[in-house]
Amino acid sequence: MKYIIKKIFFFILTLLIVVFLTFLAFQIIPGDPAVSLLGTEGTPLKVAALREEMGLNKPVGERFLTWVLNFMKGDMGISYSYQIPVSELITDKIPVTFLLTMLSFAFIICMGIPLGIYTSKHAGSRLDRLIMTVNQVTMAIPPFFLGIILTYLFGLVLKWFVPGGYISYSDDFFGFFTYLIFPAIAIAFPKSAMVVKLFRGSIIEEAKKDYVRTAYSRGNTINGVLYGHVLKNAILPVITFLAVVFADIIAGSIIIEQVFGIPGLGRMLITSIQNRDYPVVQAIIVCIAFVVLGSNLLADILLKVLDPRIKL
Amino acid sequence: MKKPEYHIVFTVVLLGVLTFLALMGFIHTPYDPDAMNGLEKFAAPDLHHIFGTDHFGRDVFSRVCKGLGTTFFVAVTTVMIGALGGTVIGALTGYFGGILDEIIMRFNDVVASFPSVLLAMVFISILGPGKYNVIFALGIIFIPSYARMVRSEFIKQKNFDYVKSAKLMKAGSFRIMFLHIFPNTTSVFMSSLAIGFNNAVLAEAGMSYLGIGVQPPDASLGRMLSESQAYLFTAPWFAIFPGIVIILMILGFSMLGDILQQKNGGI
Repeated sequence: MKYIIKKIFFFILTLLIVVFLTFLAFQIIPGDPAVSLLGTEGTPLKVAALREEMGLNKPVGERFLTWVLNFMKGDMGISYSYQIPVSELITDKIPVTFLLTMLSFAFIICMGIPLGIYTSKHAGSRLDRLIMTVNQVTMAIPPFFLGIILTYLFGLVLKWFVPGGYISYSDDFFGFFTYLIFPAIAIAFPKSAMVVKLFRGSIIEEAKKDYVRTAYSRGNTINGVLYGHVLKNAILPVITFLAVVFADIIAGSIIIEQVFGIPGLGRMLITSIQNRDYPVVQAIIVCIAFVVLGSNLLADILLKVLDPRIKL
Repeated sequence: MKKPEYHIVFTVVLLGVLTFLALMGFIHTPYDPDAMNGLEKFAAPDLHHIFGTDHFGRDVFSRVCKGLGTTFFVAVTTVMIGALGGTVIGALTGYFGGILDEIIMRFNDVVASFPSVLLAMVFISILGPGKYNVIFALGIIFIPSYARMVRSEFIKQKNFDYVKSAKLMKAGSFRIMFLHIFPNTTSVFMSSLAIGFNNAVLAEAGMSYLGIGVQPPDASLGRMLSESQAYLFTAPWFAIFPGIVIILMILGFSMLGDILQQKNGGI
């Protein structure tokens, strides 16, 4: 319990540091937001008034505090280029990216774990060597290129889906869901290959240990030892890795959304970066930071539950 | 039991060919990579244009060579910045320890838990896109992972007898750190260079694909892929060849990393 509290404390601390650093990073950008907001209409008087209104005259520390407090209340500032509150802009994008991430994560687990177990059980066999060779190549495919290949193969040649024909979840949830399947595969495929490699290696290492020999000598079958003893220990490094993978999926989804024309958080982020729309960039980065650090926290807690020996 | 090590031969050949192509991109390509030719738009691969031509009639093979050169350049310089900065920080914190070590490592953990593409995007949104900004952003972002690796090696090595003997001989701290300990970490260091190289290639390609990485007139494999997407049906070769070259590059370096790790008694 003490471990979990400590971890949660560090989670909050790191989150605050990240939020502060992003805030600071966008403060040191050359250029005055008030000037760029007013554009050509920016008379010195108007600029001064707007600076006052936006609170730009206050010290950085105070502005940071108000920003954090507003952020927690759901007020993320106003977008420079759209002139509407950032929260309005991103709330309907979050479910899109969320579902895409979850779907990819589910694919990774469904492909990675069983294949890892299978190949380690039959390590050295012809099929194992074939799978591991394909695996090595799969690991090297950049997700966005796989996305392009999938678009060509299943979208243009086989016509299983319409490339760019994204359907909003509020219109037709089923259509939306099916449209996300190929993007999710594009993200998941290379990552699940990494999971297979790691899990296979971890099981094989674990199977060399003494307790496995003892378990065999007590008359357990291969499956009994594998599922009863080995997997419990071999899965631990995989869980740590899955937390990293989760963060990578979010980064990957930013690119994949662009490939498949899905209007999610990632697309919003890219257009905002190109338009230098800092409040939006800031808000999205903080949201992603929250999810990334949160998944790390969850993995730590899960590890502790599975393996009580782990110490901080 | 001595098996012929086909995978090593394969890796060496693969990386050799890629390096050759990248050098060609710097020195001489069969066609001018930027020369447009309205008569030869979307020419399918044949003997004149072995990878075909793109929507401006430019030779895809020449552009792939040039893009490969850019990618190599970005990845190598990025890894150099990351490795150099990481080694200095990791060596100092690992060797001396103390409160500064704690603070820097906590900061490192934060940065390392973030996907590098995402952090690079924050940098790019502040600095603006371009080849050198990408190198700068990725280089800085790679420092923590190298620092962490070098630090743990230094902590392991600093209690070994040879370090103690060097101390008895009144060797200076910096002499011990960089002339005695550092050469002993090269095995781990080399394989992490290969991994870092791959991450740099992926990040650069991804960012250039998004249009916030390398900017024209610099050719880039990622950018070629994003341009090719609109003409996927008419000219699939325009997308496939740059993509395959990226895959081969990452495959080659990840195998190199594995081989280096195996040679040093890893799994």
